[in-house]
Amino acid sequence: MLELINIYKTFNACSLSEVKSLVNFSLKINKGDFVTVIGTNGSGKSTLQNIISGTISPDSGSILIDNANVTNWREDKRASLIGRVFQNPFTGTAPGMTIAENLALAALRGKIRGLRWALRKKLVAQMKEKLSTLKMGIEDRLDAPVGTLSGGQRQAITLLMASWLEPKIFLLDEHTAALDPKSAEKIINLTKEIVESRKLTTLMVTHSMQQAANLGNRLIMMHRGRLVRDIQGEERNRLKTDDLLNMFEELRLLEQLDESAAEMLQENYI
Amino acid sequence: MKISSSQKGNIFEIQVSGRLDAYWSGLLDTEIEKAVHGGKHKIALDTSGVEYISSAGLRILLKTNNRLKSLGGKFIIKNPSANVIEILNLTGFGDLFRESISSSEDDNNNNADDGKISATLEASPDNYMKCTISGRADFWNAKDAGSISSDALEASENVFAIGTAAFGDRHESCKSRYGEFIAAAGAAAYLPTDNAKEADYMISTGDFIPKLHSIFSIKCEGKFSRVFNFEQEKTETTAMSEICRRALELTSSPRASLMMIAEIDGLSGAFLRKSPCEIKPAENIFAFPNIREWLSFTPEKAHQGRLAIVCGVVGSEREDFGGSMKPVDMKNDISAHLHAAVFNYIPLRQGKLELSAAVKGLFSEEKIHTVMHLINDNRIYSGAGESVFSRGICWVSPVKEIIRKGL
Repeated sequence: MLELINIYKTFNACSLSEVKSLVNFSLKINKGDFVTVIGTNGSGKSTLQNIISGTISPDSGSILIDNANVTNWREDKRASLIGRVFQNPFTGTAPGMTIAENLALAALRGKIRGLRWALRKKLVAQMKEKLSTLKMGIEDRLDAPVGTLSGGQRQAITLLMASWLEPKIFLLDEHTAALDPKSAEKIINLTKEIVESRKLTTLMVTHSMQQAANLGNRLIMMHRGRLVRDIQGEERNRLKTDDLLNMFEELRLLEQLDESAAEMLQENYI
Repeated sequence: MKISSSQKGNIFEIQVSGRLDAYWSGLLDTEIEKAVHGGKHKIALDTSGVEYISSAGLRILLKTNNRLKSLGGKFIIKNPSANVIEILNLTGFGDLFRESISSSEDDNNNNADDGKISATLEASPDNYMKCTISGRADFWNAKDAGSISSDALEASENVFAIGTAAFGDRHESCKSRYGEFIAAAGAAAYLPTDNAKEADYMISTGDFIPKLHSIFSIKCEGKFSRVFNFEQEKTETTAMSEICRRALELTSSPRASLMMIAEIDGLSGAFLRKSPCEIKPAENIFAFPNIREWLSFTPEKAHQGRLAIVCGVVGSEREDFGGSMKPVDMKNDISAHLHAAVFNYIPLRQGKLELSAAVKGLFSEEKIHTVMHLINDNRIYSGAGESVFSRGICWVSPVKEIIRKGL
C-alpha cells in the first residue's frame, strides 16, 4: 500500500545547522496495517509524515502509494489519497465556518467543488449520523461555528473529516499530545474505532508509550533518521510499555558510548 | 499521631504515639521498611503513647515481627501502654509479643562489628580453590569466527565461574547467544546476545546441574576459606577495590577467588551485545562507532538499591588468569576480573549466611535484571568510576593452582 524506498532528507545541508532528518529510510506498509511510530526528539518522525503527504520533497528516494509513484506529485494532488490529523486541534478545522461546512469540505475533498456544494439533505443526514457516534452531543449543533468547540471536540471532528473519504493512507501526528488526559483517551478510542471499522492503513506518531504499546499491529522506532526497530506479528502482540521504555534506555546507553568511552572500554573490558 | 526514630546502641528505636489506624499504619510501615532497607534488623517499637491500634496497625506489627525473625533480627514492643497490652491480649497476639516485651531490657547480644569492613565471621583457613582457564578472553584477536572454540562447563555446587558463555551443550546451538555469564554455588545466569536480551538463569536441583558452553571461562572449584561483612558507614560506601584488597589480605595470597552478595550503591560495568562468533575477519570491535554494535556499558553508576551477586578473581599479577584481569583502581597494583548478576532488593540476613541457600534463594525468588562485567570507568571527567556497595557479605579463598585449557 505504502512504500518508501531509500529516502534521504537533509535540512540546511552543508551548514553548521545541518540536520540529517531521514537517512536511507525504507519502509513498506501493507494494506490495513496500523503502524505506531515512536522515536526520540528529532528522530525524523514528523519529516516522515511530511514526506508521505507531500508537504516536503525528499532529496532522493521514491514514495509509492498503491503502486503509483507519487514522489513528484504535488501535495494537493496527493490529498485525495491521504487523510491527516495534526497535534494542534486548531489546524484541522476552519474556526469561522460551521461544523456542517467543515464536514462538507471534507466530504467533497479532492473533488471539484463548484457551486453545488450547498448542503444537501443526504449529506446532512450522514453528518448527523457520524457526529452522533462521537457521543459528544454535537450532532445537533451543525450550524455552530467550529471555533466555539473545545480542543477535544475539534480534534474529534478533525478525525471524522480526515477519515471521511476513507483515505488510502491515514496519518496521525501526535494527535492527542495537546489534549487533556480525558479528551486524549476519548480521541484514542475514536481513532481505534475509525481505523478498525474502516480498515484504514494508518501511520500514527506518538510520544505516549502506552498508546504505542496498546494500539496497532506493528510498531517502528526511529532514531537519527533511521529505522532502528520494526516490531510486528507475535512479538508486537506481546509488547508491553516496559519493553518500549527499555528500548529507549538501550538507545540512550548507546548514545553515551562515545569515542572516549570506546577508548576506555578497549582498555578496561577484558 | 507522631512517628520518630533514633539509634540506641545496637537497637533502632521507633517511637509512635497517638492512634495507630489504617492511615498511620501505612506511614509506620514505610518507616520500618526504610529502617530494614538501611540494615536495621533489631527494631524496638516504643508504643507508650499509643491510644488505639486498629487491625491495620496489628498487621504491621505482625508482619514486622515475622520479617525480622526471618532475617535473624528481632522485633520488640517497648513500654506498651495499657491500651496496647489490652488489644494485644484480646486479639490473641499477646503471646507473640510477651517474650519480646519481657526480653527487651536484656537484649545486648551484639554481633555487629564497628567499622566498615568487619573481621572474619568464619574461617576454615586451609580451604583453597583450584582454577581452570578455558579458551581465550580476547576473542576479537581471533583470525575469524570459525577459529573460536568452546568448552562445556557444569555449574555444580562448588563451582564459581565467570566468562562468556550460553546455556546449551553444543557450540552450534550456542554460537548466536554467547554473552556475559556468572555461575555460583549451583546457580548460573547469562545475558544472551541474540534478540532475547533478558538475563536467563538456571538453578541446580536434585540431579540436575546447569550446563553451559563457554568460549572463555575462569572456573574456580573448591571451598572458601574466609568470610567477611561490610557495612555502610554514614555516607561512605565500600568500593569494589577495597573489597578486592581485603580479599588478598585475608587470604595472604597473590591471587584469590571472590564471591559476594551485596546491596548495590552503584555498578559500573559493560556487557556484550553481539555474540563473539559474529565477528568478521579483521573487524575491530572497539572502533567507534562499530563498538556500539558490540558493547554496551553503564555511562553512570547503575542499579542503586538492588542486590548483586558478584563473582570472580582478584590478584596482584595481571597475567595470572588468562590475561583477562584489569586494574581495579588508579593504584594499578591489584587487578580483577569480576562479573555481577543484578537482582531486585531483598534484605539480607545479618551475620553468618549460608552461601548456597542464599544464592539459590535469590535466583529462585527474585527477578534477575542483568549480568555484567564490572569495569573501572577511569575517564577523568566523564567516567563513572568503579562499582560501590552499601553493605554485603563476601567469601574469599586463595587460588593455589591454575590450569590452562584449550589454547
